[in-house]
Amino acid sequence: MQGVINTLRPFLLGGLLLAMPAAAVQAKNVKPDPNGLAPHVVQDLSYGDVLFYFYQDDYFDSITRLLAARQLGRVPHTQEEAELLLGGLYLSLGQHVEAGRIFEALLKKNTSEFVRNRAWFYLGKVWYQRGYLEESERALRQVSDKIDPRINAERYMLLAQLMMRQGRYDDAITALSSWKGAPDWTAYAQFNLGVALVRRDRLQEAIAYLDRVGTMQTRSEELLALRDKANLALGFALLQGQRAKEAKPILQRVRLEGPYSSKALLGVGWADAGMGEFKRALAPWLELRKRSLLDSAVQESFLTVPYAYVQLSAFGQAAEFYNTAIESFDSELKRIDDSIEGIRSGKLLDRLLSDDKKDTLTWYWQLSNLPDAPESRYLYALLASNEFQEGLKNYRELNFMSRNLDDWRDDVSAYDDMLDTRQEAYNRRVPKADAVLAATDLDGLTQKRVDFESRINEIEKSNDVAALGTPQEQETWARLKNIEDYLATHPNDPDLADMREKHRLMKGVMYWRLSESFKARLWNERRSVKELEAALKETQKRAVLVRQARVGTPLTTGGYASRVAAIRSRIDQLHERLADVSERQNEFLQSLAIQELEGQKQRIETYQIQARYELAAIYDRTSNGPANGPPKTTPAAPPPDAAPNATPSTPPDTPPQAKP
Amino acid sequence: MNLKLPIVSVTVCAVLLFAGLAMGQTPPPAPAPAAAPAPDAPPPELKTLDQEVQGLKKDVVDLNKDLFVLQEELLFPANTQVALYISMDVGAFFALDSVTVKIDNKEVKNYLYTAREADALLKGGVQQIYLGNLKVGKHELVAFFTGKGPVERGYKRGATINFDKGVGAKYLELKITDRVPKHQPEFMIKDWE
Amino acid sequence: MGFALTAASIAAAPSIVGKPAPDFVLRGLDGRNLRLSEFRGQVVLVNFWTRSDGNSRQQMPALDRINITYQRAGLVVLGVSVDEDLRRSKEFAAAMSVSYPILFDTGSEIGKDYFLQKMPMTILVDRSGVVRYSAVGFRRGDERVYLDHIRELLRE
Repeated sequence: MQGVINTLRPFLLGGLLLAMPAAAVQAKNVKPDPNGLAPHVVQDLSYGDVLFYFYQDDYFDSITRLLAARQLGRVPHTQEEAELLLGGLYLSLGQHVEAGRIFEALLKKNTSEFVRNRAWFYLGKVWYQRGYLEESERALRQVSDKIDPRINAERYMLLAQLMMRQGRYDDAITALSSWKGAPDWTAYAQFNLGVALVRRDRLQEAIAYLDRVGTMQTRSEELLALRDKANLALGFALLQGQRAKEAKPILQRVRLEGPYSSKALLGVGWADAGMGEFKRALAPWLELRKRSLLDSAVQESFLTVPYAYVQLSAFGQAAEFYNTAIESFDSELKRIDDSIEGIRSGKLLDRLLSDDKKDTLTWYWQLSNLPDAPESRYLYALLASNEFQEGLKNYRELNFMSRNLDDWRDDVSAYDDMLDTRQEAYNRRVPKADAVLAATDLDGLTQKRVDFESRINEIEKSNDVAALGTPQEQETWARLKNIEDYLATHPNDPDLADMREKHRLMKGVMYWRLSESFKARLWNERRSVKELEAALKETQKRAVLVRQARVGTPLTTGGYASRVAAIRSRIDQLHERLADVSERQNEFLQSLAIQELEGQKQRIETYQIQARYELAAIYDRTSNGPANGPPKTTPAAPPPDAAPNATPSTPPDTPPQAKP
Repeated sequence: MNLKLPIVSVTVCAVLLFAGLAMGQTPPPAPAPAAAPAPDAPPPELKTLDQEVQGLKKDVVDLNKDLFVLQEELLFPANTQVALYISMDVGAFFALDSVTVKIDNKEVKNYLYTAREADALLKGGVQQIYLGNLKVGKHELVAFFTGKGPVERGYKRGATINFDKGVGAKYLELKITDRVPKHQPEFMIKDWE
Repeated sequence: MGFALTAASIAAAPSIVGKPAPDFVLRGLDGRNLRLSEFRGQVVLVNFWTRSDGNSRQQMPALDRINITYQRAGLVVLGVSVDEDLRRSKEFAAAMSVSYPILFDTGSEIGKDYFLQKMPMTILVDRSGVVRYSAVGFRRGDERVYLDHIRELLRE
């Protein structure tokens, strides 16, 4: 049995569960928790504006507005909180340097404990993401436990994380053991702890933690995946520790329909094999073998199945399976070559981003959105990797910014046009304005009004009722006057006596009527003067406006034109830089992808070589007879990636239920 | 998604309102007299007595016509048969307070005079106090006024007139006058045919 | 500038507000006759009252103060007694001794013209002779409301 185990060892060593694929989404791809800022009444309109865009996941816009508001001096009340938000936004956009600067500035000021805590925390995060682990730890330790529990949870996670990255597993263990956090976070912590302990060969202790995670009750998809991972890690750790019997039931806990089921099946097979139950091992392995060859576990199963048959001395079947394996590997290698070609042609990223909503920098990019292309199948693991995700995000952001600049460029051209038009319009209007101003005899008109008013006053004072008569009345009055004058030239004529009397009567009646209407008419005249006055005032105001506008500085030589020009040149420069960096980013991602594929090729080639070797050994054996039985050669160790890796898993920054 | 800088375009206002400058209310200069031409003095060489007389007659006729026209316009609005006028001709100060008019024993008017109105009468104003219709035949009009003379002395005077209403229009003038023997304000009624 | 009825005005009855103020001429306590239309060009507050309505004792002094203050600005205040008992009414008015003219109406025309129902009724006539405000009753503090309207009308 020992011999069997020994032959297994290299397999297992190679397939050791040291790092799981980092399928869990890393910190940077998750929304920063806006609840890091306490809810408050928005005191500044501008800040509210910023938050508006923030809550719509429009971080770019938020930052833009926040910076603008700062420049315009519009965020006085919520100064510090705005700074925190800005820092957090920068952090989320991956601009660590900027973020760090902001938080450090905040800490230098005399701010409240609330602000200081958060600044330290975010600073710690910044350092961590930039890889300055010592500084990160120092910063994180400055944060008091009184902070918001969610932030505190993340703080402990980060601390444990960085310790593990430094290889300080014991410290990580201490830190995580002593900390009591929210259940979800605890699960992740325990998983990471378990993995850390495995790495330190403290399997027994690791079992306790991993088992706890492996048996937890949950309904959340994320935690279910974590549970699978834990069981997988534990199972393989036990396998490595030659505890196949214990490994099997644990591996069987992994969900059949989950993402780790293939690896689990492989592990179960190995568990059976470890117990010498090769026939039993065939069951999961044959099952596995039916699956897609893209999966590395499946690839391995192509070898483990014939291996089992060899152990069962069914050489004929073994040879068949080895042959099939070699052929299948061949096809697969060809497909990989095609994919590499495809990537080299530059289409990878565009396909990945083809479904993308291009108008915002929204965060969530799901692996499930993988486009249906040959290369994407291989790259599943790669695409989940942090490095690739970061690179992809950068590429996307660069694209976004490039489009943004394009938009601005258009606007700036429009501004230029606008300025030109305005200048032209201004030039056209000047002579008109001059003409109008010249024609406006405001003084004359005002004088007339004054005269008019004094005339009314005179009329009132003298009770000159006739002056306010209607044209008809005035005519009549004039006629009466004429008659009077005539009568006056013949004062003593008796024949005219009657007429005189009549005239007296008529003039009297006229006078009475004029007098009756006098008050009302006087008021009407005065009201007209008032209206006239109001109109004159209006005119005066407008004349002033016209004069002012007339004198105003022409536009093209002024501030606007030079600012527009300056901005345009900045846009152009940025555009160039963006294009350059985008291309380099693209190339980088391509090379990552190709590297991954090459790696897979290598593995398959190695498997292929092994298969050939084994096949040859079988032929040797059968031809040479059992007596000369060739040594049951140790299958070459498969490349390290054969089995899933176990890197510490990090949960999202916010536990699943946290909502902005 | 882009931040658009607000561009405020300053419109140069070249349209000024001159509305208020249409001074429609300016009292027009007194219109040139239309009717009632001043009688032209005939050229001296044709001046014979006969022509002078003829000329005068013509002037009078013209004047009459004008007066008549005026009279119709001023004194007799359509359909009215009877018009009563109040006037004053006093030498000494008199503050008219009220006038009451009865026709055939029925009060047809009771008018209170404000200071301004009384003043207008003093200045020669004539008030058309009543317009109405009466049957053809005999009627009696009674009118009295109240007022205050100098030294606050109160007056109340009345007058009566019986008149015949013919087919045509009739108008009566009730004049308050003190140019009478006692030099106290009295009501004089004049019947204008 | 249009404000019609206020809360204090007669809601149901036909309203004089917005219509030209019917002209009247009445004899005053001092023997002078006053005609409303002669005040065209000024803002006129007319207060219709009777001796029996209890509010007059409060209202008249308030109106007096208003008259004293705003007379120079072009406000005219007229009190019109619609009491049938002329003698008593005159006695009362003389006793109140306000600075503005009190006029006496013994005929009933003015009551109809102005749709008088409940006493006291206070109206404001603008410079053009249009009734712009009307209120019935009087409570301490109402004069502030009058003043708001008066100031507005004086500005026209």
